[in-house]
Amino acid sequence: MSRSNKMFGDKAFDLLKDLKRSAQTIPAFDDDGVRQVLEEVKAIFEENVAQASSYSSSGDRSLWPLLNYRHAALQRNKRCLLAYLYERMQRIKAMRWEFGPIIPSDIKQALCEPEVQFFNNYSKSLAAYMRSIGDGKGIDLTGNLRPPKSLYIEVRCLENYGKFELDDGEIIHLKKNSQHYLPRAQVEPLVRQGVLQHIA
Amino acid sequence: MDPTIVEFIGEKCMISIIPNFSNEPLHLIYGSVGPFRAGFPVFVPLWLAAHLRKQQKCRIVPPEWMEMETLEEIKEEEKRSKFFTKMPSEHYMVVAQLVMSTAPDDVPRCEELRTIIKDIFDIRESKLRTSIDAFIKGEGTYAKLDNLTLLEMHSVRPILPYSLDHIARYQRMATASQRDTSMMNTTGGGTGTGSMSNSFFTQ
Amino acid sequence: MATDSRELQDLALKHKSSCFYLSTMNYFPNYYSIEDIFVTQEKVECKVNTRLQRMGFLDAGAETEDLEPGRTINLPLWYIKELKVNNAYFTIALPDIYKNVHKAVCEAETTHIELGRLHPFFYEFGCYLTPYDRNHVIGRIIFETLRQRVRHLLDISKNDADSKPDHRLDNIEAKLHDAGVRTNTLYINWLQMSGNNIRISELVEEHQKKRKRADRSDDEGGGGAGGSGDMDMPTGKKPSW
Repeated sequence: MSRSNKMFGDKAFDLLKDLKRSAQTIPAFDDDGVRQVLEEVKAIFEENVAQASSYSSSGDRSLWPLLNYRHAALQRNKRCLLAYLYERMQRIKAMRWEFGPIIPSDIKQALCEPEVQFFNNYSKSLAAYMRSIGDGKGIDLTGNLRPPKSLYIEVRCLENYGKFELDDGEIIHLKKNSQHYLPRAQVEPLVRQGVLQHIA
Repeated sequence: MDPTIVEFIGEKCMISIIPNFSNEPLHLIYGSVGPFRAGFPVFVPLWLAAHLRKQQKCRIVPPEWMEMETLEEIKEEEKRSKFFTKMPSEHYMVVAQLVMSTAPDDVPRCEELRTIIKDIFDIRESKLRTSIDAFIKGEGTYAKLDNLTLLEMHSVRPILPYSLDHIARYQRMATASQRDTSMMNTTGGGTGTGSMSNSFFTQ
Repeated sequence: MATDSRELQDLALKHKSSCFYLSTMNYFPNYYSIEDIFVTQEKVECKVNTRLQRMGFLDAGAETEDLEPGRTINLPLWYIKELKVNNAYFTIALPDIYKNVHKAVCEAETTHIELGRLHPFFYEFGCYLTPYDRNHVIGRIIFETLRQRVRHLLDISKNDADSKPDHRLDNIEAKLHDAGVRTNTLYINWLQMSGNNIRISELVEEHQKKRKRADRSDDEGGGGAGGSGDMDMPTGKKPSW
């Protein structure tokens, strides 16, 4: 075994450091880091199996502490890996509520393939649930997060969004810096996504 | 709870308005209001009062307590008393805020009132902090806080329950460790890391 | 217009809330908790009691294959916490930070201690060490310290929302402080009648900022500390209540 400054479990810990540093976004899935941790786990496991079986044949307990240490390291790696995946999953879920069913492509690039699938499935489940409640009419649970004060609100357009069709068929041209007086419920998603700004 | 939700709850308070229109009673989900006769006062929920006032359809009659002399008394009483005094309305802050912002012209000495109500709230809030501190440092296991309004309660949430959670956790741990180690010392304890030794071959 | 100070508070709010979706829940250590993994990554000083075969790699200062008795090494808490107090291999040396605040705790003078500077995980780290503390003081110290400092936390989260006292607070306290600042910001927004406004979602806003930063550093050829501009706060504008 080579002596190095890196301890067991340090690589796995680096994964979490990465997540903690960027608490408000989701960093790119660290394929390479995850693979390295899995390799470390495998190496530890194999060494332990070999030495543990030599212990059962000889009854020599002198390697016991080392086995214990490596076993703890193995558990540690496992915990870090799972926490890494779990934390990312929580953020992906949060994203569905904040961005809506379509997430920006640069965020999507930060996800690994199973995560993209998870997002799509989660999004579908949520949509199906929201359609099923409210006497068959469906309720958008991502809307009206605070009690609304009025049916219409004054909004300013922050970017050239293009055409936007209201429920009654009227088509509004959302041009940068234009101001509109629109139904709150219908424009709320656009405000949440930063296209419009609620001014009054 | 977000103050906007406290406000939403408080908006159910009834308040008197003088409409400048006449109308049949309105039948709403939680009850009926009206009929409305121009020039005659009628009690409506606060949210409806604010809505009608914005459309210039009524004048709001401020509640009785919303006047300088009464509020001065309340303020003095609050300063004198060790405990929280009973407020004239469970939602005094919400009512004041809504009435004074939507209908400042309907309230005489509006700005002075605003200041004194804020003073009362501040006195009560600092009293709350002081009693929380005394409670946490003391030996008591429960505290009784009568007459605290919803908005006031939520001025220390969630930080207070969060803090109490941690304190309780550390207290449990401090007493538990005392027990465990003394037990371990008498029995001699184990030599290794027993809990893990059976699981080398599971991954 | 109230818009300016509202934006200021929004910024302050975002700046403080380090973990958007957990902000509605209290911190409690659990298997998946990143905080707890950080705490258990901390190193603890240990004295080796007996020769430990082939464990020399844990001792950076030695060239032997075995770990020799009498050596002092630093081991991560995630390993230590699996050991019993009376284990035959290592004796755990408790850090002095807890002893050092003992006097202040007894005199109820803990408000001025710069806890974050002493240890970023003062409370949680101490929790893990209590079983190894034969004098049973660390547990008491942690409990009493937080008990004494809650009032201070309530006060600073109400009053100096704009200056986060990083080095003064430990991790647990910083989270409590964030929760307090958040409550206070919501209250101020409400007083200014802007509480009901729909806002851009926090994640979207962060994402836009990130993209802007990326664009800008592309323009500048990736130069220097250009990215911090988004967080600049307009000065001299305090909430007026």
